[in-house]
Amino acid sequence: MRRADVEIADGRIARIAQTLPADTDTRIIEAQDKLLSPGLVDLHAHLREPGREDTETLESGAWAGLAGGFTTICAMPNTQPPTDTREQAAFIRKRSDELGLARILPIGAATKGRAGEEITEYALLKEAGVVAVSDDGDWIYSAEVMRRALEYAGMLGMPIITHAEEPSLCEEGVMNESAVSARLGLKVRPAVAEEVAIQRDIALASCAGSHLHVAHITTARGVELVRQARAKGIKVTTEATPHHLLLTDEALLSFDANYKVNPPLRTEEDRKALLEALKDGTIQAIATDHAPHAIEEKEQELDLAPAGMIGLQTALSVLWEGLVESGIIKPELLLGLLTTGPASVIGEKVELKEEIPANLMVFDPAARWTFDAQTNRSLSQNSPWFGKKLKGKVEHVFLGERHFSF
Amino acid sequence: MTWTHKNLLGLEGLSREEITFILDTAERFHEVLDRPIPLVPALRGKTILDMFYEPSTRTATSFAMAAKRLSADVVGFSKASSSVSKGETLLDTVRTIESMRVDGVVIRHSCPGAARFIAQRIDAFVVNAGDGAHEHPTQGLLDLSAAHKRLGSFEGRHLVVVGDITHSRVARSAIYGFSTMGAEITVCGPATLIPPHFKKAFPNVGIETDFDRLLADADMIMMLRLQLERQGKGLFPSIREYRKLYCLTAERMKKAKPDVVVMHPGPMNRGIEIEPAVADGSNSVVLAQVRAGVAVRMAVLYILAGGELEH
Repeated sequence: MRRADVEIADGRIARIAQTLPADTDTRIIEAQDKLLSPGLVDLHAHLREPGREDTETLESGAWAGLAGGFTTICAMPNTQPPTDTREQAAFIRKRSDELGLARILPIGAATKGRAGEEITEYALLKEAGVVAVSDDGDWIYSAEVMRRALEYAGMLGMPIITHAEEPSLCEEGVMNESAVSARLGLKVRPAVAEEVAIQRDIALASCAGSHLHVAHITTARGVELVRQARAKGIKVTTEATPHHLLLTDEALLSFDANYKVNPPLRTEEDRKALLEALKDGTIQAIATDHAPHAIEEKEQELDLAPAGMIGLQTALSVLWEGLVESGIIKPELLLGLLTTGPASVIGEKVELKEEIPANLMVFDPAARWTFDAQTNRSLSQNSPWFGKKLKGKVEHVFLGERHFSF
Repeated sequence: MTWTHKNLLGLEGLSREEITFILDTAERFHEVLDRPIPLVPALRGKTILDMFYEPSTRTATSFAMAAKRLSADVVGFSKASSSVSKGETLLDTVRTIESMRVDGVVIRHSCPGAARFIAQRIDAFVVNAGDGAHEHPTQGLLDLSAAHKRLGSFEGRHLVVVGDITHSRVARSAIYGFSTMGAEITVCGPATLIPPHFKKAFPNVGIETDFDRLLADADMIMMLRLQLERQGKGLFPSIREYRKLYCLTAERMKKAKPDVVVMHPGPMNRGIEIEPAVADGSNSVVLAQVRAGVAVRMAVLYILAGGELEH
């Protein structure tokens, strides 16, 4: 990190220097003690279009992203219909271009209809702009299908993103298996379900020689498996979500369905292991798993409410306060986990240098704001931070010739 | 004492003084139940809504009877007979209740937290009549009431709870209630029916898979009803094996203390978790539990409705 002036002209970064002379026709944005960074990259968001446009659209999701500093959002394919054809993927790319907001990159379904049986047309999907394939939300149950999917995606240089929870261990489960679940009598999705799933998928990725990306990792044992596999040279990357990095299953003591997520919030011990894994590079990315749900769906009995919380707009604020200000990780590391880290998973580069198109955001760590109906850009509000005062706010985003202020 | 809770959602968090207060109040209603006309006007003009989202005969009947003995108006529905079966959400049901302006709600629901969900959203008081595998506080209170009549003080007494601990709200409420009253508790059942991390959740509660090792030291044995459908889920292999390991038989009773108190929340699977001779024997307080149920529920409704007992 350094102090510098940055000049943007004609949608490009024209100059970066300790001090730049200001021309009279240059608009100056004072960013003393604020942070200028490349736009953030989210590897994992559910934007609900097509199918559930009442809860989010590509447009509202892209706005929520921008307001949170994200200029690239990877859209998970579990829409209705799912992104399992070239045409569906092309629709998302086209819509993203039309909107000109945060760039939306489609993730293709790994299997047709996300049914876990037949692999989709990875080459055609890639041609249409797909950056990775995944049946996120479900684990690919058949080891044979997963093996072939890894082999085929590997041939095309695309990662497969696995939602690592062995489903037979999670039947009807709503929370982590822990002392808290033992008290509350809630059905569980145990840590061992993640461990079993990661173990199998690492074995298959190793066998295929392909790139496996483990979505939203949550457990101490899970990160240990990834760490060991990486040490052996197996191509495994992984991401963690802000909520798994900041919250634990104790939150379920409130029975608030906003804390119901898949995989579930884990124990403090797991959370600490995730933080260690951020520091030693086992985890390359922080991804939001932004998952909008309608109020009437979420405000139900915990057993019936759908899993997931939104996160695009709040991720940087809550992570900055929770991890950087509290001294747990350095600001450079956090920004790396939200920019270069996730970009590298999908084979992209993030830079801040002269002559490249502007793709920047300005974050004021000291600004205070309330995440509520007034400020929320998502069509949904299922977040434990909804209604709360937050510290740290994205104030500007520069995308090519466009400038957004928040 | 002054009662400060709006609802009774669980026995977790209640103090010994508060539990004693409910049990003492129940004792007075026991006397009412012995009268030729077992009726008091304590809740006249009050309306209690019984919402049973799960099949229940004894708890539903017991609550309805308790409310009627207090002269309350009782309205109710069960899942089969209400708009719930037409897919109305709990939230909409809550709004409906609010507009009907009832004084109290009794709810039985298969989802943990359901009673709390309602309690957070309405002004009327709420009594949890069982929320999934979470809590069943009036059951815990009636167990305490029935056992108290035999044992007096619970201090240092040993309660053994046997069966499917994982899925039992009865067990959880018993753990909270009996431990607050000074009893020591051990849960017993097959490893597949005791939650992992149980020890961390309840550090003072013992865990034992061998029933026979607990018999000699038990002052109270609470047998839980075995949900037979758990066999299909592979949680135990067969009835005969379960019976062999965990049925409270006359044979096992020989190894127990002569005055051990035997409890069962009912309905019993006779011959599976408890032998008929034991269920109907002199150590059993099963029928006393049912009777205590009405008195305890009268006490709970009465206290939550803000009543003061005349002396």
